[in-house]
Amino acid sequence: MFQERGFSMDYIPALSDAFLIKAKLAGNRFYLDGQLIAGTLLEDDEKSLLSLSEYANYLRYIRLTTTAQIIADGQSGFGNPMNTYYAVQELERSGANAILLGDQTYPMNLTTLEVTSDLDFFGKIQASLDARENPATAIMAQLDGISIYGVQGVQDRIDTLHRLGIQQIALGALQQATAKQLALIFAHNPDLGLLLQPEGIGPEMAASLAPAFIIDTQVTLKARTSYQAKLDQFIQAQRAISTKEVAHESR
Amino acid sequence: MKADKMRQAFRQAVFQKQQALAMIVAPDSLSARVAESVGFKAIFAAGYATSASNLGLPDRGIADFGIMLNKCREIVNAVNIPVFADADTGYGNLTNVRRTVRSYEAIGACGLFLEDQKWPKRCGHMAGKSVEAPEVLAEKIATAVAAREHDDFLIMSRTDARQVYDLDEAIRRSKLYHEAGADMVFIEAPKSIAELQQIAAAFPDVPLMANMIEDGATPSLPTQVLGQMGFSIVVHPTALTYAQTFIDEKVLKNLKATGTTDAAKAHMVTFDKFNQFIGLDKVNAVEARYTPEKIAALIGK
Repeated sequence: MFQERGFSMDYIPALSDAFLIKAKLAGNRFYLDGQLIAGTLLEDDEKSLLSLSEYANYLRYIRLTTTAQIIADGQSGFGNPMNTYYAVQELERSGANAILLGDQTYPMNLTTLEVTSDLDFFGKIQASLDARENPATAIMAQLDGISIYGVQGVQDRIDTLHRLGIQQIALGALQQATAKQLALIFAHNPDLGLLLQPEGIGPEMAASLAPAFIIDTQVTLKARTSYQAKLDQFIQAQRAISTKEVAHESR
Repeated sequence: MKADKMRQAFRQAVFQKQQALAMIVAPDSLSARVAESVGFKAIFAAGYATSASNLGLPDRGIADFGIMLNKCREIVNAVNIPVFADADTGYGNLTNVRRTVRSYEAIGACGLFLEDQKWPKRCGHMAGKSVEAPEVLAEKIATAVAAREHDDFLIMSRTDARQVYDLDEAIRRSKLYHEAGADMVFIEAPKSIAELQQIAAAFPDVPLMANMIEDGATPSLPTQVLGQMGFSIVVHPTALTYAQTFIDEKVLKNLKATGTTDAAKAHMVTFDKFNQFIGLDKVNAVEARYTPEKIAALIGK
């Protein structure tokens, strides 16, 4: 869809399954989404239920299955900037090539959006930069608060992040209602990316904003729902066959 | 990167001829930090101590790959000296061996050993061991060497054939393992000084490890003496586990009897000294770097 629109962008799928990653769905880089992992392990999509150590353990398994670049889900830094410092160390040595850090409060909440203070967020960003062993490990920022701090708030945060040395910034929690504001921001910031999320804007609108990159968690979660429905059909069909066979044999 | 430095440091320590490398088995990250602080240059993450500290069970092949790998990873992250890994039998067939090697290398260990016991294995100084045909470990060693990403991730062979057969068989097997690619050789449980000397004479150009287990089958000798004999590494696998158990029992018996730890305080470090040792000041300093005031100044707000 995004290529058909006639512009190039880095499309980054959200994945968590080693088989799917191995099947080259990952491309050059992918986002190891905490939400998907929480769904698999905890039957709950609330990623903040996953602790850092649990996520990092999963990351280490995936690291050994692929040479693709892994963007780790740093959530909102797992506490205060000190926690973020040690979290980045753990994620880096567990194999992350990049760490995406959001400006929500800790613990991150997918249903109720709350953003942390800008000083806390920039403290976490600076702590992340300082914590890296390898300067090539990218720190990426995710700004979720456009509905709270508005266009100017987004722009101010982008400007400060640039000053701190953050190149890859993505907007998240984007709603259809803010379409005009979004168009303005993306027009002013050609390097800006976005997160395509289940409850947010659709792929058509995302493409129309011409972001530098898209991290797509939406399509993977949709695919999961359709996979569940398909599997349910198969299992029901197999049950029906097995029941018939048992009835036949008992006659 | 740290992992590269650790592998290089370990290789250098093993292949230098001046003195044997004293390696201590650490039951956990804390004891590894203590070892590092008193000057040990390498840590061994090994099964006897891990079985005891993680499971409260003897070294009888119950601690599996996942437990052993995670323990080693924790220790690697806690210290800035090389950590060598006890990878037991490689935890299965050649596919398991490949995964084992890749995993230990990925967590930053400096090398590992693979042994020829049958699974479930047991501590090398326990009775009742059995070993595979030598070709089994030779193939695992060759597989491990092929699977490693870095040539300086050192692979050691361990044979337990001394107890099951005799020293000649243990030496014969170890030569086979060395030919298969093992960088270092470990013959477990020789029974005398003469046997230790025989091992050293059989491998004049291959780094050898000696295992000094208290009350084990092998006579206890100082690291310096074993180094002069020709051993490159001398490991003490049980000292910290036994010492911890001894002091835990002593302190707890006294606490149970008296209801206080007053009498035991003479055998403890103090609150302040421990916090200093464990790095509280460093963690606090990290936190202090990112206060709102400091960040406001940084971004000019």
